[in-house]
Parts: sequence; C-alpha cells; structure tokens
Amino acid sequence: MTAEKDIEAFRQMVRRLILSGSPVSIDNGSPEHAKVILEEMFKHVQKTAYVFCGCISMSVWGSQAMATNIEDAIVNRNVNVKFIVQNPDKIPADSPTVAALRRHPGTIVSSSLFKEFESHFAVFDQKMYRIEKDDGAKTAVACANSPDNAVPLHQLAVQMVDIAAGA
Amino acid sequence: MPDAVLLPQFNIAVKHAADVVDIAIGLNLIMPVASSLLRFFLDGIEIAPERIPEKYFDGKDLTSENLTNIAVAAQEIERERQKCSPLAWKWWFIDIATASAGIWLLLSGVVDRVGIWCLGLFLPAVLATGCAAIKYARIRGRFMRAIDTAKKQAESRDKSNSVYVKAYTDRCKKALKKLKATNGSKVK
Repeated sequence: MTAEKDIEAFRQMVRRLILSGSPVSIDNGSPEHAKVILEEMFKHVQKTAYVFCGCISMSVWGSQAMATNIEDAIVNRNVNVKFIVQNPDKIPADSPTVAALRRHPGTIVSSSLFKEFESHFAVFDQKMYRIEKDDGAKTAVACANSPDNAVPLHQLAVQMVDIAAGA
Repeated sequence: MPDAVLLPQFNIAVKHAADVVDIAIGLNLIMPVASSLLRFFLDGIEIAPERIPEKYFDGKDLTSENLTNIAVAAQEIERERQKCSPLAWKWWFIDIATASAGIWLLLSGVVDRVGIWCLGLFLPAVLATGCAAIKYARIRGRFMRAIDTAKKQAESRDKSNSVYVKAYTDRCKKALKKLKATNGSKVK
C-alpha cells in the first residue's frame, strides 16, 4: 500500500472520528498528518475556527483542498474564522489558503505580543482542537471532541483576537 | 415394448433425475455457506472507529501511524466483507461446474452411486469453507496486530494533555496581561 493510500485511510478514520464525536486523542507530528486533521476539522466546523500559527506555512496550510474547506466554512456555513499569525512578514504570498483568507478581510490578525508563545494550536467549535506540544519531539495532539481542553484554548484565542484587533 | 419392461427403466430414470435435482438444490444451498460464514466471522470484528477507542484505547493517545495501520486493516475487513456475497460469481461458477460434471457422470453411467458422488460434490464447499476460515484468520490477525501494537505504544496521556493545555493557556493569559499594557497591536 502506498503512502498516499495510507494517508487516505488515515483521513477516512479522522473523518469518522470527527463525525462520531470521538474523544480519542491522536498524536501527530508530520505535516501530512497535521494537514489531514486540520483539513477535516475545517470541513466539519460549524461555528468558530481559531488558528494560532507561525506564518500559515505552505507545508500544512498550502493545499487547495485546505483553501476550499476554509472558504466553504466562511461562505456557506458562516463560520467565524480567525488566523492569529506570529510572523506576518513570512506569510507565503502564493498560498491558496492565504489568497482565500485575504478575500475575507479580518480573518488574518497578528500582534507582536504573541511572539513568545511557543505552542501553535487550532480550536474549532470549542470541542475540536490540535495543539503542538512543546516537548522537544515536535509532536502535537488532536482530538475531535474534548471540550475540557478546547474551551480554554477557545477563550485564549478570543482574547488574542481581541488584543490583535485592538479591542 | 411391454409396459412391464419399460416401468423399471422409467423408475430408474426418475430416481436419477430426482437425485440430480436433489444434488443441484443441495449444492446451491451449501456453496454460499463459505461466503456467508466468512461474512459472519468478519461481522464479528468491531471496526467502527467510534467504538475502537472505547473498546481498546480508553483514556490513551493514539499515534497517527498506529491509527493509520488500524484504518488500513479496518478497510481490508470492510473490503472483504463487501465481497462476501453468497451470489458472488465464483461460488456459482464452482457450483455449476461441479453440478454439470456430476450430472454428466450420472447420466453417462460412469458413476451410479449417488451418495459417494455427493461427497465429491460437496468437497468444493468444504474446501471453500476452509479457505474462508484461513482468510478470516489472516485478516483478523492483521487487524488485531495493528490494535495490539497501538495499545502497546499508546500512552496514558489524557490527563497530561489536559494539564499541558491548562498550563499553556494560563501561561499565555498571564503573559498577555503583562504585555498588553506596553505593546501595540495591529490588524492585517
């Protein structure tokens, strides 16, 4: 079985975990796995999606599928999408996701206050989340249904967006 | 020809025809058994992802690689399960081939002991059932190995995840409070 088929099998599993609201945690480190998890979470988000990232990197966020899922969430489901960016100067200009976000002003925010925050994360609907753990192994953990962890991340993200927006 | 001579031959012909019909009906009923048996076994394997965590990974983290291996093994089970149709062409092919051979041998007089030939006719079904059992063992083995490997490597980190997230959010919120007063912010 090729790696592509493995990734597809992984995608199907993640999708079914999200749809069933499974509380199982998934450790993940590779950009491919991160991309699949985040693409699927964006595909199924209904209300809010907050992403705290370095620069909306191509390796995780650069796919057309990701851009489509994000824009679909914004346009068709009226999802409140915010990308809180640490290094706005390094945002790739040719990324489909960045282009999609720029079509919807206010979806990319940044502040110098967040430069020192070590862990990037994404939180959706106050129940799905993915956070990069600063444990030296470059691992991240994701879960399709963990309000206990997602709510504090959501609250932090709201605070960060408010600060970035100068509220 | 007198009726007294014709009647025994007619009775023999009728008996043979009845035997052939019995065999054909019996075969048609028993040949799909192997497929149905495999389906029955495979149905017994829990592959619903939402149930796997509850069943095997309560309160533990799965790695992406192990989740992928489980997903691949689960897909194989699903694929095989879909193939397990009693109406699958291969069963009917074996069925028709053996039944045709049996009928020809009976009618040509090569074989006249129907009981023994019945055993021969059922042999493909027995072999198919054996193959189904072996296939089930192989598929189940792969799935359970994926589960066992994942179980061994899964870490009990539910609590540590919560601790990490809470510590991280608290740290960030405190930092924001301190820094907010001194730094500016902007919207792109």
